[in-house]
Amino acid sequence: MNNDIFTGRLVRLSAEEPETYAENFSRWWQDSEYGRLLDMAPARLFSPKRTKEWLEKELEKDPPPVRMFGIRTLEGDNLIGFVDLSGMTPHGDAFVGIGVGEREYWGRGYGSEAMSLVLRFAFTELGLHRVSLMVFGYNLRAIRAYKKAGFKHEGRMREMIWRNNERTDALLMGVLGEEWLAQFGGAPEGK
Amino acid sequence: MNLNQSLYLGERTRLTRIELESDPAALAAWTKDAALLRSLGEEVARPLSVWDVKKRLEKVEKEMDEGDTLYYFHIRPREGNTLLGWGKIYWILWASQIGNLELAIAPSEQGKGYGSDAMGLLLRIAFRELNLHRVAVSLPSYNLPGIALAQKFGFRQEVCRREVYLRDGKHWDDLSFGLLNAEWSANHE
Ligand SMILES: CC(C)(COP(=O)(O)OP(=O)(O)OC[C@H]1O[C@@H](n2cnc3c(N)ncnc32)[C@H](O)[C@@H]1OP(=O)(O)O)[C@@H](O)C(=O)NCCC(=O)NCCS
Repeated sequence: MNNDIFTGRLVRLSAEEPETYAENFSRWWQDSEYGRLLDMAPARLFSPKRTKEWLEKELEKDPPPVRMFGIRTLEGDNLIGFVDLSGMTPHGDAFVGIGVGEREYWGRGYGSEAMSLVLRFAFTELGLHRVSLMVFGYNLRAIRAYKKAGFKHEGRMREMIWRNNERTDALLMGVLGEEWLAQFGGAPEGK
Repeated sequence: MNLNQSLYLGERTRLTRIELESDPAALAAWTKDAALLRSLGEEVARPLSVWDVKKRLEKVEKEMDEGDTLYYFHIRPREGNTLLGWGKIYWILWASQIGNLELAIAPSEQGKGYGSDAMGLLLRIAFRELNLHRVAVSLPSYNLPGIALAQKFGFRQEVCRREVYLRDGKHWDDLSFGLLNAEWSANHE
């Protein structure tokens, strides 16, 4: 059995204290582009207090309904983002959400590796059957990153998002455990 | 503007409030077999007690009283007070003017035209009162009557999430359908 499942070549999945998540989430959301890529709801600036209270309530449930990880660089041990699995069903499906909040790390392979690591956790430890995600039509970088991590296109909800006076579709993507294991053999790309 | 035409009154059904005294028993009786809950989605089908159902309905009322993202109705015949089913418009996101729709008719009352009538009322509320830009429904791929009903009202299949449901030892897809206000309006006045 390979137990070294949380570490890749660039990043590792970490556990962070609720106040660390809260402070960093609040800071990342100051970047409105980040918020508008991540969430369909209008971008807004939540207080760290609210985020911390919400997180503590979720994370103290056992097992936690939201599986939340920090993304830390191996070099320098910087916290650059988060990735989480939520909405787990009794049928073995869950939705994944990811955000690299430190934008100087965008487009350099960190996000797709973190995604690969969380899929490895989903399929080799959690025993999920599949993982789903929603991404906005204008987020081409994310769509590319998810394809690299093994996701397939499953559909397009038309005109879901109204932003900057434009209507944009939302894309649904999914990956089955058996597909992922066949493609990556239980280890994400390169490891 | 014709405000005489009630939003809640169809040709065969009415959309009404929850009756907390009498409705829980009717709803609980529908969970004696798994058909209804299985037809809707991922929730594990199991017999629910009257108390279970009452607690849920109280939560629904609270959510409706305190928020503005859920519109939930109990469907009854145009004449009479029997409970036929429920319909809801939920997960409304006002900034994008979008929402989801769910409709359920008691197994013993299916196939009598109540579902179509109630669907017409729900869509009229969604598009002519809530002003939603689009409405989505999602259904397990084995729910053929539900899929046919959505398609009859012009919903187009947009998404097929593969193998989302595990039931009877088999995996089934989750299909999601979308209807735009403009598409619905093209067939309504
Ligand atoms: C989405 C996100 C997690 C992806 O992580 P990342 O580290 O930036 O992505 P990667 O570098 O691993 O992969 C991005 C890929 O898209 C490509 N890319 C970058 N910018 C692009 C653009 N504007 N258009 C198309 N492709 C683009 C990159 O070249 C790379 O592909 P390649 O390896 O084939 O060259 C990260 O960008 C992020 O957090 N963005 C902000 C929040 C967000 O969008 N969250 C996701 C919401 S669903």
